[in-house]
Amino acid sequence: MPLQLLKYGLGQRRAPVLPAPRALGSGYDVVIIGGGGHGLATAYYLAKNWGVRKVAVLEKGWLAGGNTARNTTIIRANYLSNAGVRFFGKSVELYRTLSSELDYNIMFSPRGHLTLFHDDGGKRTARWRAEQNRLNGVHSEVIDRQAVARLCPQLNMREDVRYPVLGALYHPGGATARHDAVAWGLARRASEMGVEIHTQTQVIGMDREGGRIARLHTNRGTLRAGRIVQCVAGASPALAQMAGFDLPIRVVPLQAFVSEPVKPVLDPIVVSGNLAVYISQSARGEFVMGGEIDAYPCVSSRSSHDIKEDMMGPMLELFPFLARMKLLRQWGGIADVTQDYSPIMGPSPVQDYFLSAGWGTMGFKAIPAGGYAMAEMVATGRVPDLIAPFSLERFSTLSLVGERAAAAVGH
Amino acid sequence: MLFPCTDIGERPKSEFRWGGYLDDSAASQEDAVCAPEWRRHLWGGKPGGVQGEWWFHHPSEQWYIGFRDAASERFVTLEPAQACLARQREGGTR
Amino acid sequence: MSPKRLFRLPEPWGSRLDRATPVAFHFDGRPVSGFAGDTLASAILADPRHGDFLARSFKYHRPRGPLLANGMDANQYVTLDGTPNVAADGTRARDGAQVRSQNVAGSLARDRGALLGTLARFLPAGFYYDTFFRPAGSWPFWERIIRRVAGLGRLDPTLDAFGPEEPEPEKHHLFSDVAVIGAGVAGLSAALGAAREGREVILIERDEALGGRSAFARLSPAQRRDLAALIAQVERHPAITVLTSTTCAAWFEGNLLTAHARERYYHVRARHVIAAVGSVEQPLVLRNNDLPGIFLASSVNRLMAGYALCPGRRCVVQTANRFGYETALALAEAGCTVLAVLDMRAQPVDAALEAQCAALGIAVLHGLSVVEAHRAGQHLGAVSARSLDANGHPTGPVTRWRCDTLVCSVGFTPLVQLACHSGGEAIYDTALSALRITRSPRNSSVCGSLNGIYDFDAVCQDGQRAADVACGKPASLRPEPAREPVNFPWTVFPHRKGKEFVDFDEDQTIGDIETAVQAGFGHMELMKRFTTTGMGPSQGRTTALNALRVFAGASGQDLAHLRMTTQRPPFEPEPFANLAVDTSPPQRRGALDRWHRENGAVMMPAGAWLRPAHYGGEGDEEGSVEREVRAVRARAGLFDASTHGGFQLAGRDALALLNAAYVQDFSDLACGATRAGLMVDELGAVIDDCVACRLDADRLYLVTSSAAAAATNRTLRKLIVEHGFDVTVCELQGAMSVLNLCGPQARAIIAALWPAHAGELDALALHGFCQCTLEGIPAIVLRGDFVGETTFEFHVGSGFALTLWNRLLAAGAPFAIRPFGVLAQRVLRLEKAHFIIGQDTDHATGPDDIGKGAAVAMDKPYFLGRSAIAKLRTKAAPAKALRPFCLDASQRQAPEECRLLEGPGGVIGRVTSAAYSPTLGRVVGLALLDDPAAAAGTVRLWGAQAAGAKVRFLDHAPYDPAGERQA
Ligand SMILES: Cc1cc2nc3c(=O)[nH]c(=O)nc-3n(C[C@H](O)[C@H](O)[C@H](O)COP(=O)(O)OP(=O)(O)OC[C@H]3O[C@@H](n4cnc5c(N)ncnc54)[C@H](O)[C@@H]3O)c2cc1C
Repeated sequence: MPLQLLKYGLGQRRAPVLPAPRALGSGYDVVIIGGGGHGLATAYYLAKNWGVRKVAVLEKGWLAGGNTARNTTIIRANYLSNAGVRFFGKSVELYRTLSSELDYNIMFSPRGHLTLFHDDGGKRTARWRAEQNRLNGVHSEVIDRQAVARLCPQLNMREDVRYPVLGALYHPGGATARHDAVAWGLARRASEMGVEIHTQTQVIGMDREGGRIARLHTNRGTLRAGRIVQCVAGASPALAQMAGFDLPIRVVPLQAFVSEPVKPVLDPIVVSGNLAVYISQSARGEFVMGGEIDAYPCVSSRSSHDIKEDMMGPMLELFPFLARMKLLRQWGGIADVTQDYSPIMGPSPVQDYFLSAGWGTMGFKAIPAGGYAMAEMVATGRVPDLIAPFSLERFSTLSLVGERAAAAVGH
Repeated sequence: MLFPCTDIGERPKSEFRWGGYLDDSAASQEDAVCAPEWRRHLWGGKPGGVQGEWWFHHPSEQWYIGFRDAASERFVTLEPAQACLARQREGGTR
Repeated sequence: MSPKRLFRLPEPWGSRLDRATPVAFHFDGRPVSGFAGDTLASAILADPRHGDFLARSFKYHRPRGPLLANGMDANQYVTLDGTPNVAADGTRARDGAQVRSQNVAGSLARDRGALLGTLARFLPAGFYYDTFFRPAGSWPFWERIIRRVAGLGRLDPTLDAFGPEEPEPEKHHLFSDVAVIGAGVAGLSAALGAAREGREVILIERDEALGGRSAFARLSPAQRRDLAALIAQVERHPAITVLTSTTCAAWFEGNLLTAHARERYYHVRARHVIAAVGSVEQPLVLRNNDLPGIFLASSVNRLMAGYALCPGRRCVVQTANRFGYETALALAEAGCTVLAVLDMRAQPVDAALEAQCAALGIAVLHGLSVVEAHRAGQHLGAVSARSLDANGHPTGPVTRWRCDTLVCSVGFTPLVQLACHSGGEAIYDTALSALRITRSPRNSSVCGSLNGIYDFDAVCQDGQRAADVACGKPASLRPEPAREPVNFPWTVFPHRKGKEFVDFDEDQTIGDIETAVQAGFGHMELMKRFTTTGMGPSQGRTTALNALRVFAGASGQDLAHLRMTTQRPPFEPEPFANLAVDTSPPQRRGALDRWHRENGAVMMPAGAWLRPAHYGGEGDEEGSVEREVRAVRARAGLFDASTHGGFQLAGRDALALLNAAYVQDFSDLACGATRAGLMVDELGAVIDDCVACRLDADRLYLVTSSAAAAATNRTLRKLIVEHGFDVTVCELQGAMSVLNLCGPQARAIIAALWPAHAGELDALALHGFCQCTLEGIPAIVLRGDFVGETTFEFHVGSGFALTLWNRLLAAGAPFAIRPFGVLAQRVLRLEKAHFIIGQDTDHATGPDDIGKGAAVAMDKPYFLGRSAIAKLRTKAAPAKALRPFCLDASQRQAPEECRLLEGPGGVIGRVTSAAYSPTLGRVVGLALLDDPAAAAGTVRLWGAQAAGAKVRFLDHAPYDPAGERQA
């Protein structure tokens, strides 16, 4: 038994993860709208790396109850574009040490990540990603059927199926982590450093004066902010409109599914682009599964049957023995998707108003690097190189960061 | 979920495919490249509220135009695109 | 082993059993004998050769008896014939079954995992967040250990999808005016009421028989008659479809219900849904409340009345409503000793029931509650009770009873889940001390216990009211029945030594919820996440109420303002196999598919299609591709290109449509002429190409790529309505087949085959076409150029494809014609440096990047993507370039497609296609260069292993650059 467990059992209770609520102040150096992973990470790094501590995080519901609480926790860096691979590579690197940094076990678990391909188009994309990964210092490789079978003996390797497995892009660094723990750990450390986290606090209006936001109105009162960071995922277009500009973001439901728990049999995370499904097995023994985004905009996080059913046929083709499993729960989140499947980080048309948006189906893995870079930008007023390609401007200049091939299914 | 079409009745959602926002693809806007219009043209709808959208109905290979509340997902109208656009061209408001 | 407590009662107990038919199976390798009609659990528990429990809990491996006893919770999970997590109390026993206990280390009776229970103080809720991660990176080590103890049953990945006796499930789509969920008294009344009004009704019941709770309850003789009549009328009514053993799993938007039976998955769509799903009884929260021997009254009723299973011999009944009394009477009648009925309510409420108890010698004590259970071995041995004060706190001295059975009936929770899936709302009603639906979804109604109504006659009436609503009659026609308070507000008795379970699936206790609140998780959703309370297979059915109460107490919040956590589908775990029915992606096969397979073709997937890769059979891919390439170059080859997209456009504006869809200008496309087109998306990226043949003034035949055919169909049709074009589109992919005859002998073969047409066909210029009827086969014949030899493309209706194919092969035989597959075709086109959209281009490749900039008719006022191209052309960065290349002849191995290329200054682009050309004796390919200028310098494949492979760029196609072979 590890020593910490002993200490824990012997009653050494630690500071509460989430401090008791307090009154909303009248002004802050930085106000972060949205208490999901990205808002919290930005607050944490502002306090830690830049000593900016008069910071308030405003969250309209319960802490990190948006997509951060709903995702399937896949962490990986095997993207396609140079900018994407570098950015997500940095994020995975930060994740590796986040438990000890936050003094909270986020259960970062490098399980290995297989993106299966079933035709030569898929193989080409895999090769391209492997090359781009290597170019940017991220390890991934194209492996053949036999190697896939070794890494994931549970896979159906028969050739007489609709989409036989031909090989995979193998990314050993692919991981999962406990999503709630990431948010809670960040929240606790941030509040220990003085950041105020106000839940049940919704931004409902903004006064724009002279190109900046003079006042923010919330359901708990009005406040001023030196700088504002918007990290509201599915609410991004709505908040931007409140601030007075449009975002090239579409809001679509994304759903996820878990099975009943069984003894772990599946080690790696397995994704199939052709079949539009992915699966991993959690430490609790549940199979965590998902597929593509719903194909049309919708701002409610309701569940539907079609995505679930469409995912299940292909899933059972890959893993026939799962036919004996039962689905325990399904849920949805509201993903903020951009045309090029890359996020938007940077200044906005409003002065002192910064954006972290467009995280869509893939922003959980980006929480540390996103917060890290956003904090630097907010504190220094300069856009760090790491995120420069992700500016809002790229949509007017059509300098897009194309990630569709690497991000449409394998979140 | 059922989509209520004016001409073919209620059809399941799975028969449809979303095809962009209505003001998205109006050819007249194609040249408007000043930033906000450009972005809306390609990607943006209004955040919330009722808005016009294109829907392709697979079995009949017909385009429909629907006005739908993205929050409740309910349609106000859903009719063949041809009829809807013809009315708009005649200057009638939707 | 301790003495057996549970035992079988004689007839007439056991309405579900057919005692004439024995059933025999095995549990943990030892025989079990039961009766037909038994559940796995009732048979095992009744068998004196087996113990009093058959499962252990998730976290602490505590022995667990039946909780709800109806398959709705995880406390009776077993592994059945290799399928884990089967609810033994919800599954019929069948001969020969192999049933195993699960989540035990060692044996069910002696489980080493139970050690974890003694460490419970070290493993409070969320302990893992504060442990197992130091030193940095140690979590994976601990995780491996934790994963070993995680999960419930064991799933064997080598097993087949289905057991030998299990047929594959099928899917049924049902439609009705009214769907009623639940066939208790409420649902039966509702179904009958609606049917009598002329509605088509579907009645869905998860149990195997109708009647719900009442089927096992103590009814008056009049009620018993009413119930029997109700059931008979429902079963006989022609407008009611009854689905038993069918669980409604979810209620989606628009009144779509999904439901599961053993081999069936239902989609039920109804204009109106009536939820009559009833309620489940809730446990008392006190120390050791999970010991085998502690039962819910409704479970005891079910086990005794349905399965003739008596829980024990010395019983204490704890109650706060009439159901406890009724169960006590049943136990006494079955011959058990009922030591006492403890009624939490301070004053007698039902004199008649008390009198009946007195008549049987059962002591009734008021204002008293059991506050702790004591174990004897692995089983209940005694209970301690104390008086309750006005706030539900225990006071005064402890009274102790030695007993083997404690039966509790202190409250119910209606099954609000389904209604909540679809937008209903449930609140905690402080007057009833219960959850209750306050808003039901659109076009639906709820009745029975969902409304807080429990009395038999009142429930009948409420069911009829729901039917009235469903039929559009004013609900006020019938009086609203009174709600019956069946819940006691105080059901939580903390103990200093803990083990008062709130969640039986997840082994969460009062202390765990308090820990969460102390850690700042002051919201129900956060508490749930931190403790996992309510996340197990019963999805909060047996936990939500007590969790709310404990949470309210710990956090000082008002119960009336708290909401249970969001309810998500499914209502009950649903089989993957059912969900998967008919949802595998479709496979398309061309008209010649069978011929290919019978003639040695190795098929390969290409999007939705399967296409012949080559015809050499398994084993010698390289050799057969080479033979096929050589055949085409030297003699003749025949290629099945049938997956091409095809369209017929007819109407005055057909050319205008092309002008809107493609970047080229088609205005002057003459009748009888063809022109190539390139389609880009709104971002200016190339997405499809076409060859347009103008058949006559108003008709066009359009050949497009295979992969984009569906999208192009939508695009064309959208442009038509947007612009008000007068054109109709007919999509022909699959309806038309395309056979390509290629090679220097192509003309000779045609001459031999169709002397009458030879002249016309021979005269076709490159890219020309003609329409003719070849021996009865109407065809459009195109002179294509993809492979770089004389090529005739025959576009014919797919019904003619095989005939034509065979004729061409027969006529080509003297010239040693060969069919060739996709792989050879790719080599041939690479030798000619023809690109394939989607392979040699990507989402960010525009016409300018592939050398097609000149084809873009910017002077057209509109075409799809025009403004994007205009925008891109203002950018400072130079366009990319798609360039043919070859490697040194010494290099026989083609680089993998998508390898990066490195110039003097770094990476400059990537190989998009490459193949060994047997014709040229070297590797040829195409490369997409971000930095075309760098192609002038030395370019190599990037990356250590391949250093040395120097790439030589060409300004022309590697093979026949002047195109002489297609003259
Ligand atoms: C089903 C699903 C699966 C996913 N799987 C993965 C995966 O495997 N890997 C991965 O990397 N990513 C995944 N994602 C994406 C990932 O979850 C998100 O991109 C990420 O959590 C975004 O973090 P965030 O902090 O930006 O948003 P959120 O966590 O959604 O936080 C935004 C917060 O803003 C709050 N807010 C909104 N409006 C206001 C307002 N007016 N005032 C105050 N607060 C407001 C919201 O309440 C919310 O809590 C998945 C997403 C979903 C839905």
